[in-house]
Amino acid sequence: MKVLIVDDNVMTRSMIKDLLTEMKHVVVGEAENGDEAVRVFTELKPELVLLDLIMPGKTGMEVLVELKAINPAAKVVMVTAVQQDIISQQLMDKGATAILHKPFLYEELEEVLKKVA
Amino acid sequence: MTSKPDVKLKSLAAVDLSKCLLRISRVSAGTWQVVDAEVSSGTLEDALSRHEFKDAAAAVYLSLKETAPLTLVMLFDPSNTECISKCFTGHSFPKGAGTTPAEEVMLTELGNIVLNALINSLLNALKRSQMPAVPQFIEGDLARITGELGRVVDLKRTFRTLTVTIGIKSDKCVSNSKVFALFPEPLAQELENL
Repeated sequence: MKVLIVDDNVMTRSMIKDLLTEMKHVVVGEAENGDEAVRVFTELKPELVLLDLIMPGKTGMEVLVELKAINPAAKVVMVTAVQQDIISQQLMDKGATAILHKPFLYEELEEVLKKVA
Repeated sequence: MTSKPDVKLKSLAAVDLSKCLLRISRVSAGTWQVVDAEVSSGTLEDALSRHEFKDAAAAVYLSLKETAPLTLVMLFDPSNTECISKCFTGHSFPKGAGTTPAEEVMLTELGNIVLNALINSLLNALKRSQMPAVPQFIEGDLARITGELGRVVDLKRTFRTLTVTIGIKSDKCVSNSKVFALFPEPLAQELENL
């Protein structure tokens, strides 16, 4: 699967990239904020976006809404340490495909990717 | 600073933070656990003084406003960064004079995960939500860190403070970190009454 990783933390992007590569997925792009994410998403048309929730500037929730407006079929998995019941529900209502909570296990990422594929 | 037992606040650390640390232990190279949790009353400076400052400390902090005004700080001893890095990422970073940018990124992500575990627990208990701010990093002595946090915390205000000591170890090293959650009294009482 062609994946776009969006996270303001370079270490997290690198860690996720390594895991995806090990799983034979292709990381087609990375973005460290919401505006960059929307631009790269439009340009590269990834099959899946792994999107952080808390970033400087636009939140992941705002970015999710923008991505779904560009492509309602976009598959967007939120990757976040935020595990608040109300926010999780809001993310799903706005079209998130799944939510992966940090810190996540290798198997959890693998399972989410299988479901999305 | 007076101490008073507070079962509800302590249970945040004992249950939810422990679960988070257990997960970190499963995904990282180290073993992470709550060593101690205590509740006290005092100012931010009173709280931070519980950390043993040698020369300086590295701090990651988050502040919530509106829904549940709360400030959380995770303090590290910079001389332990190499051990924490090995336990968290499985490797250490090239050494610099102080905390390097790579170490700062690592500590910030660790703080983001640990501090959000407490926020999640608190807000879910209150049946509320709030998008947390981006975690901030600062390094310095007690005065510098207190001064920086003065931007988001009233330095004269008395808080109910939950202090959690986290033990971090691998087969090669041992370290620890302190987490402080500063509750304004009305919020602490609201939690007690749940």
